[in-house]
Amino acid sequence: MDNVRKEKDIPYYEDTQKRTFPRKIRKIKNTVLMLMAYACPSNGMRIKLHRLRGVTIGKKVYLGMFCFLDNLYPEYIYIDDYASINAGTMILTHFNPMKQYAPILKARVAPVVVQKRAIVAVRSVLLPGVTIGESAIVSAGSVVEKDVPNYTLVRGNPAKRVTDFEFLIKD
Amino acid sequence: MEMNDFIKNFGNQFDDTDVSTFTPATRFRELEEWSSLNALAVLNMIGKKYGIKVLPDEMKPTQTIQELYDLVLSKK
Repeated sequence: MDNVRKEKDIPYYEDTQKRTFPRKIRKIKNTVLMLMAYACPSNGMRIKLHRLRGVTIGKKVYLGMFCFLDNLYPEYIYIDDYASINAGTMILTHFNPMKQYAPILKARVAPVVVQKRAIVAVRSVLLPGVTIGESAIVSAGSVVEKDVPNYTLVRGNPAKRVTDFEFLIKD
Repeated sequence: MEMNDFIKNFGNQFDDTDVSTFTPATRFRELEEWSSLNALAVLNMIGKKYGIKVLPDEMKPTQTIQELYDLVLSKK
């Protein structure tokens, strides 16, 4: 995917409470669209609603029901063509802890990229800054905190590599 | 290709099961750790170490490591 946004620092939690009016409107819009998409029975409609929120979604993508795509920074989510994000998956792009944690935790927003033909199985969690490689498989219930290479199967919390399988599916 | 090497490579695909517990007669499908994900890892190991492509459907009838080894030999 081209033109993926770069990781950047964001305000700590206390500072986000003094939001400007346009920011508040934006959050309400994102939340309403998110809730509509969350329980919408039609895949096409779910994708359209998430696109309206700012998520970049390619063609022939499957996005299951009850997926939670980051509420504050949906524009940092990129899902490439033919990818499959299954039910109950949670994709997070930002982390803004209280200021007291500043010495050890950085408030940041980072892009999450799901590349072509990747499969993210049910109830997985993708943390900020993660890239799921082309045709990679994330097993059910995995918590992905590091990039997953192309044609690689990962599982568990934290997600660990089980095997790669390029040899098996390429002639 | 030797049976002992094959067993060692097979055992390396498991995280919790000790390699020394594997023998040619081990019924791998009955192992607690066995899952379809391990099956994929084993097929990939066979492909990479021995250059033989075994498909999941071909692996299905095999129950023991010996049977899987024989299958690999027959495809060589």
